[in-house]
Amino acid sequence: MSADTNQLRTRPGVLLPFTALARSVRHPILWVATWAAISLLSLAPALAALGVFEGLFEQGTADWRTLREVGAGLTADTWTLSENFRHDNREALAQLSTANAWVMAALSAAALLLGVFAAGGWLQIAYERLEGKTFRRFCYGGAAYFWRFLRILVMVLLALALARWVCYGTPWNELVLGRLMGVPEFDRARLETLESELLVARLGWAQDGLGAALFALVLAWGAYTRTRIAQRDGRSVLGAGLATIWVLLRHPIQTLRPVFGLLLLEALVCVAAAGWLVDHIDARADARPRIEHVLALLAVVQAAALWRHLSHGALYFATSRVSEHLIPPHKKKGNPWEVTIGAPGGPQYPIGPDEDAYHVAL
Amino acid sequence: MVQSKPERKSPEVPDGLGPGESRGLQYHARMTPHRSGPARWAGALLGLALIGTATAQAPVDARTSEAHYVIQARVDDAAPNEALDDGPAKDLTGTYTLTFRNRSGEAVRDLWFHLYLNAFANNQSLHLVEGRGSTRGSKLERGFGWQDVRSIKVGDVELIDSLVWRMPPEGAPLDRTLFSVDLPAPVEDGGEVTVTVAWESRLPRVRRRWGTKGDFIFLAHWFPKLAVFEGGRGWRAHSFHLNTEFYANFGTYDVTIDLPAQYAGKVGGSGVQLDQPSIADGRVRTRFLAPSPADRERVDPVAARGSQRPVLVHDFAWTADPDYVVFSQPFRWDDWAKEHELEVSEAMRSLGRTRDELRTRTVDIDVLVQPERAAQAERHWHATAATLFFYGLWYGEYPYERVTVVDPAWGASAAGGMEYPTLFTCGTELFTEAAMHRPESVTVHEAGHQFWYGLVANNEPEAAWLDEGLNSYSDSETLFRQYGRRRTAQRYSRLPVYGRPSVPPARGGALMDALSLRAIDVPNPIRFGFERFDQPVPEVPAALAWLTAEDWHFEALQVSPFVAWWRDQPHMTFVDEWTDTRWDDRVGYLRDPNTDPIETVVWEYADSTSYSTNSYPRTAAALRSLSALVGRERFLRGMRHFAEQWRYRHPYPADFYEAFQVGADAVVQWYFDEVFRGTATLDWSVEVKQGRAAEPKGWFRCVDGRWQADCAPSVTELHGLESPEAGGDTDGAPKPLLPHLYDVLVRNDGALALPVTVRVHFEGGKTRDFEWTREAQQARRWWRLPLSPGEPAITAVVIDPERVWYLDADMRNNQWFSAPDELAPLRFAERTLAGAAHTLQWFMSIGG
Repeated sequence: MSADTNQLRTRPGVLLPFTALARSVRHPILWVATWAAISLLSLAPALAALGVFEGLFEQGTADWRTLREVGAGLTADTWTLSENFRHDNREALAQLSTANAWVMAALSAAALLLGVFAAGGWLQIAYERLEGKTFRRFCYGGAAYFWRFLRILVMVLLALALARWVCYGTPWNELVLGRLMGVPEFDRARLETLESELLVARLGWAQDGLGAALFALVLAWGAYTRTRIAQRDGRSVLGAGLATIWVLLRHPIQTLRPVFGLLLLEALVCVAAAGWLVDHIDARADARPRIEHVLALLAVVQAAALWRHLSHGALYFATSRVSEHLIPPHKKKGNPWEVTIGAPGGPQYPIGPDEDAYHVAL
Repeated sequence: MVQSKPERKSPEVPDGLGPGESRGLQYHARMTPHRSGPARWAGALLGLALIGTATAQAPVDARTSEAHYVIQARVDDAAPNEALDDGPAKDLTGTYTLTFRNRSGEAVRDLWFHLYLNAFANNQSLHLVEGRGSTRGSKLERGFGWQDVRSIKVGDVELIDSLVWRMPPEGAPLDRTLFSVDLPAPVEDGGEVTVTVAWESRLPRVRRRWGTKGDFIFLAHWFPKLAVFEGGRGWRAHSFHLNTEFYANFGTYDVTIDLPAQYAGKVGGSGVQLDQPSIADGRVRTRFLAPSPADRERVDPVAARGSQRPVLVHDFAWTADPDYVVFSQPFRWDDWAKEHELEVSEAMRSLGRTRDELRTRTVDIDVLVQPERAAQAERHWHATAATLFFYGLWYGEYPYERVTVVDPAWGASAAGGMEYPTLFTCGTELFTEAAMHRPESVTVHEAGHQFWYGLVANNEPEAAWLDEGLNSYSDSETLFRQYGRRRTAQRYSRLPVYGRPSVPPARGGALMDALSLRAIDVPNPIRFGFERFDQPVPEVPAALAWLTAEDWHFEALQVSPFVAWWRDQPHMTFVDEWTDTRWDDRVGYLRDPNTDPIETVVWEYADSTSYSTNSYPRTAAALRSLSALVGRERFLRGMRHFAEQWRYRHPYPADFYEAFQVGADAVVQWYFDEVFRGTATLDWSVEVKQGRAAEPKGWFRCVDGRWQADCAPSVTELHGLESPEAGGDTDGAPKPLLPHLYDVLVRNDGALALPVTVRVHFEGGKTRDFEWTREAQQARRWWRLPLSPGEPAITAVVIDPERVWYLDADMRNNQWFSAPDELAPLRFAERTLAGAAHTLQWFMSIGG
């Protein structure tokens, strides 16, 4: 085993989210590529909206400068749509809404598949530890793991459905509402037999919070299952999934801390920082909007989106680091990522009998 | 257009029942205008001459009979019926003495009473038959209640044997909300009769308007209520329809309520509480007087200018809840006047009153709020105070010393949003802010009903718009002045987030749900196996029903609201949305602009949408436009005059039209006829074409009669321009610019014609106004503006530039600009991109 490998066996530190982010930052082409792919998909509803709004904002509308010159009584619909605009253009807006809902439904399926692909790509980069030609290796990894990770996606969706059922279906209704809270069956939809709205609200938060926690846990489980498949070059996703559950139960802090740490950082960037900036821009733009405000919003929101893609990559750097510490190599297969040539720091290429390996001509 | 002398109308014999007629059907296909009798005209004209003086004669009509009640009631816990109740039950027993003073102008031979509680006795009442078994959107399957009269006596004479149920014709033969009994002797005009009634009730669960929920009690129309007898029209009493409200006599109430001791100090009612409650033997007795003794002695200064009537009320409602938190603070007019000096000045100017004459009395506002919403008590108070200020400024002071604001308990929200004299219920929820106008909106509306309905007490079943519509107009004016625009919010697990998503969530239809993985139905292979091999599908316990279900239903991505918040990233992707409450009335009106006239009897509207549209926002929009027609000052005078003349009386629509025109000094009956009694709509539009005139070129007949190319007229000659502007030159000499030829065509595609200003803006800042009169619109539905060619181009043409008309069906085409807004499409495209990018990134994170 190499010295690097020995180092990897040590327990990851508390700062793993930051080190994972640092590793991800060193591969800008990857997170820019995934951001670009998503942005390209997002252009579909955006361009549809542009076309529709260009039609709505024809000669009957004017910006705030023109309206100021024209006089009192009219307000611009540039930044927010007035009640009159929303009503008078309701058919066009409803059609746009419906069309975009369909487009988004289709695009969301595409985004799921892109995620499947990207996960394989990131794990390829995470384990190969390449500094160059990363985009090619990313695509290679995405393709190599695609079908296995697609099966993992099916597992994840089933698990999410199960979590949903636990939180919002019979278990919650019978155990929590029925036995714990004493709500009769005819009242479980409205909860009016409970004594106060605050109690109902708290119950709702508990339910929704549990739902959110289980959702996050399932996604974390999915990430670690993918990582395990990649680390051990496994074939059985079900076996990997069950084994991952065992690992998560045995090492909840080590496994979940970096994942939720990254989530927290993402929240700080997207909610706190970007949210504050967007509010600030909105406040300045509302009465006298200019193109600079639109561009500023575009920059802030897309920068936040870039961060999320960066963080997505960091997630797999983190899970791979934790998995290398917690999960020993397969007893029979060994560590597939050790089958390389070259010294540390030099070029390293995986070779082997598998079809997805390739050879170097020296 | 608007003349200054009111028209004199010829009186008509009003339609309606004769006195004592036992026909249970008093419905008219369309509301017939209730015209005045000769005596009223004389009184009105005399009153007009004497307006503002203390010696004005009291108007006379046949609708000022009075009902004075002294009521004792007791509430006890009852054993719930497992099949029909959904929690603790309560019974009420009561007796009252009613003194009916007949001022109808004719003898009354029988008495009609409402038993409103029986609307919730079973699902065969007219109320629930019309609602198809549902109230306020939820099916009523539990929590029924009933009301029954045990005895009705005049002296020692028992009348109960003459009881006749007055059933509606609309297919509800089991409805028991209206009955009559025969009097042993007629009550002559000017006379009175005292009746003693004993009744009992099983109080319903609060499903609509009143009832109980646990220990929470809210009761209105809770005793057998005497209907209204009108001279020449008989008993104006109807079974309790789904959409109708109430109509009752003015009078006084002395009510003593006996409750378990846990309610001590937590009972609210109309009027004022007299003395401290007496507690004994585990019971508490609380007594209320409405109006209060002091109010009964007081001369109402507003009525003194108009109706000359004493201070009275026409209903008594009460509530009790051991959990109530009581917040009490007085409303002082001077505090509010300081904040709204401009409004006060406008009222002084419009009404010709001094500040002192406009000042209204101090009123104690009691807010009874649920403990978890105690933080909102002050907001309820503030909204009520705003209403007392603005409505008082416009329509005359609220004359009672106290008003009670009630926040119904959780699970009893159906009692919310309803008005009763000196007491009303609100509707709110946790986690709201003032910008959302909740509870401000409903509080202002229900507080406003103290004026429209409480003081000016129209026949709500027959003319709902006369209180709802006038109040809707007034409440949106008040809300806008006090709170500004309403801000839209979405809720995630009850917590509000401002704005609206730029990308709608994929929802609706099995395919869309499947694509977005919100909900997928997969054929059940287990069941398929049984069916494939023709085997019976076995019965399984309910908990294992999924094993044999038709499909397996998966909701993988129907997520918790917290997850949805993370998916939507609202702080980054939402678009803010604001609503001006006044323009919201226009939007509400256009939901159903022309199915029925405003002036329609409630149960004759085509459906609930027509009822709610016409009674509320359409009337508000119509009144706001009436203000544009006559001018704000006249409008205020007209409304004030109506409020003064009809205080403590029962007006009908024709009374409103007449009083308004007298007060506003304007003849606008055509407006009422077309807008309130018709269904015509209005739709102005403008089309603009303009371009430079062509340089004259070709052969022209010269002065000498020959056709030459060199005697073309000049541009200035051709278009009658006086001084040509110099334009660019090509050969060193200044060349006159060719003038613009303008073609501005305005149209009215609706049948309603209202006078409107069209303003044309030119380059350089000049403007020109054109007045398109009503008569011109009636003669022809379009008008080409008489614009001579000119140098400057038109930059904008705006119909109704001051935005005073609220009835246009489509305002997209009411203006034209040479330079449209080019930034807006980019703005909303960016928002859509933002929403889509973050939503798709979320999906991507699920995929991997």
